[in-house]
Amino acid sequence: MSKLSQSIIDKFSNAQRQSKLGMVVIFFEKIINIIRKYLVFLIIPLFNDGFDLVYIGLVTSLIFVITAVITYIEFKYFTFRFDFSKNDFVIKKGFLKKTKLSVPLNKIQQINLNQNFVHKILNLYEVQMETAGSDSKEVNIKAIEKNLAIEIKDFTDSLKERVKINKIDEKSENHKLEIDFFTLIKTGLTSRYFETLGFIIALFFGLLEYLDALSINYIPSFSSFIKNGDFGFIAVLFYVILIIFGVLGSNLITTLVKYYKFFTLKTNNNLTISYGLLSTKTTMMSPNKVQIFSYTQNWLQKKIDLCNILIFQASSEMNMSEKSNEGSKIRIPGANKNDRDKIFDLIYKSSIKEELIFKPNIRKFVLNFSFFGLFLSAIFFTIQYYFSLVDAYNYIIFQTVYLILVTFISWRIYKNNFLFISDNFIRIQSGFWDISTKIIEIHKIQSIKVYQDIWYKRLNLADLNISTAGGEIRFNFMNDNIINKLVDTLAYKVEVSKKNWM
Amino acid sequence: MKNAFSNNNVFLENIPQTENVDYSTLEKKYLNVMVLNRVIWCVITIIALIAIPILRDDNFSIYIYLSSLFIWLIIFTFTGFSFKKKKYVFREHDLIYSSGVVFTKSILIPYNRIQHLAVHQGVFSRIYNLASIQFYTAGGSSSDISIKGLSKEDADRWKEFVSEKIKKLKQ
Repeated sequence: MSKLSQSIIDKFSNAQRQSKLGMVVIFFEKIINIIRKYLVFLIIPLFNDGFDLVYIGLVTSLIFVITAVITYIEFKYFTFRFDFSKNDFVIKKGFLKKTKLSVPLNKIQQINLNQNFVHKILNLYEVQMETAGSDSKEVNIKAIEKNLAIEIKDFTDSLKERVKINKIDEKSENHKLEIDFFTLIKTGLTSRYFETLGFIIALFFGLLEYLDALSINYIPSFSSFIKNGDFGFIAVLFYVILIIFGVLGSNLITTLVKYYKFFTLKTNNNLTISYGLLSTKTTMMSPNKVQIFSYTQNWLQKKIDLCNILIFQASSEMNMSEKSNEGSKIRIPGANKNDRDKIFDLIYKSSIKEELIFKPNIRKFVLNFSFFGLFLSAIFFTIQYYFSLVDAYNYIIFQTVYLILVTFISWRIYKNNFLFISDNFIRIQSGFWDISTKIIEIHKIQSIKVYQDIWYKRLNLADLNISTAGGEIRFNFMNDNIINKLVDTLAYKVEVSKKNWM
Repeated sequence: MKNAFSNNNVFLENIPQTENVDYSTLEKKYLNVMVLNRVIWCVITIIALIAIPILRDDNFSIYIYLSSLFIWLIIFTFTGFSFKKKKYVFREHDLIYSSGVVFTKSILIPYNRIQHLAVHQGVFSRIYNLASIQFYTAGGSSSDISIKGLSKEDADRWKEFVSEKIKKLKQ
């Protein structure tokens, strides 16, 4: 190793502390956490008459002092170092309850350098190391100086791969992918309509719950709105346009803020991804840990050659909270076909050749249509017949529009569903608006499941479900003879493969 | 070393086929365990149905009693089918477990994807000298296999067999 890395070795052999300025970061993080958790308790007194400024001031300053003390203690007793004899990264922390955390470097599958707003002001970084094993906890160093963070990152990477530290290779320039501002705008305007709509609805109900918690009665104003409000064509159109603007606007803003200055870079054997306006996230992942490569593209995006890429890595917390799930998912917003192929090639070092194509049985359409179309329509009809909530004219219009929509959506779902099998890859395409394609390498299969309900058996139909360490993919309504043959083929390929799944 | 891995075209006809696999069923004694388990849950339901009205000092409607009777009748009639439908097979390179009367599910795990395995014995199983064996993969809990109702000896032998396979694959 070079002289430079020798000095780094000396440096990291000894226990290191976080940056002293980092205490500010930890302090703010704690305060924000407290505010988030107890916001309701802070607001309720404002609405009551017994609002006592002195009392509030006292409690607040007490909270601040206690948090500051805890921050100092946490900072004082937090050290990290590399153990070169065992090739471990070691963290010691805790004042009363001492914890020693050793993470074998070869188990680290992803390193993140994050910056929130406070980090940015102080020019500090948070370092996270993620491992795939369920038994070893994650490493999280809250705040260290920039150069130290980058040294840790490069150093871990090089130790892991047992190669010399290289500066970014000039030749790897073509492995660099940047997503410019204009593409981000395009992505923001064309993706995630339904998710954001759902989110806005959830937010609305969350707000109602919050009003409930503050014991503000909102029901009278609502019912008066429903009774006296204008529900003519123009008014409805106005509400629809308002919702559309809300969805597009929030999508655009979140995309721009979250993915500002997005770029990926290939260094050594890793892929570095960095993005963010207010808080920057830098993630490093090794391509062989990728389990599922997925991209979505809707009709609009197809016209302008744009797609969203989602990369799923191996994760042990698959079934746990969504937040930990986010960590093992990497989203690339707005890549064109060329970029997509480039990233695919970067990860798998091969491309998909000759594929066998399978389609689901027509019953996929029939079943969706019968349930969502006919069965629900029958329920609507019954409700209308007995309670007549709306007048007949409106009911007929609603019913017709609904049936046409369901037919169209069911048909799209059926039409866009494909299973492709090639020598090394399985590819499943599905969706009705956002058409998603999920690709897995056959040797990364963990298990294969076949579902057959009793009423499918007569029809010779079954569902295929393939699990990897990063999630599963599913293909429904397929001939069971073909599924059996597929299972045999896939199992055979996994069993003869000498490649590691991770 | 280079020849160790080949990737020639494979034709479907030459690959061992899952449909013609001879599955083994579980030990007959396990049916008793299944019945016992259900009896206990049934007793708990009966106690709840008697105790709750007493504690709350008002009666449930007759439909609640009738529907729970109906549900338990169905559960007990299905126990036999459910037992018969649980079957497993250990093959040269993988194992398959299949179960479910109405919703049949079969899971295949190649030996080279097993993370670890464990033999387990519950209270009732111990009475009948039965054991269960679990196979864990990295694919999450839904893709793990747990074969209940093997004789203790069989479970240990299968454990030995699969451990050997894994050890050999690791080399």
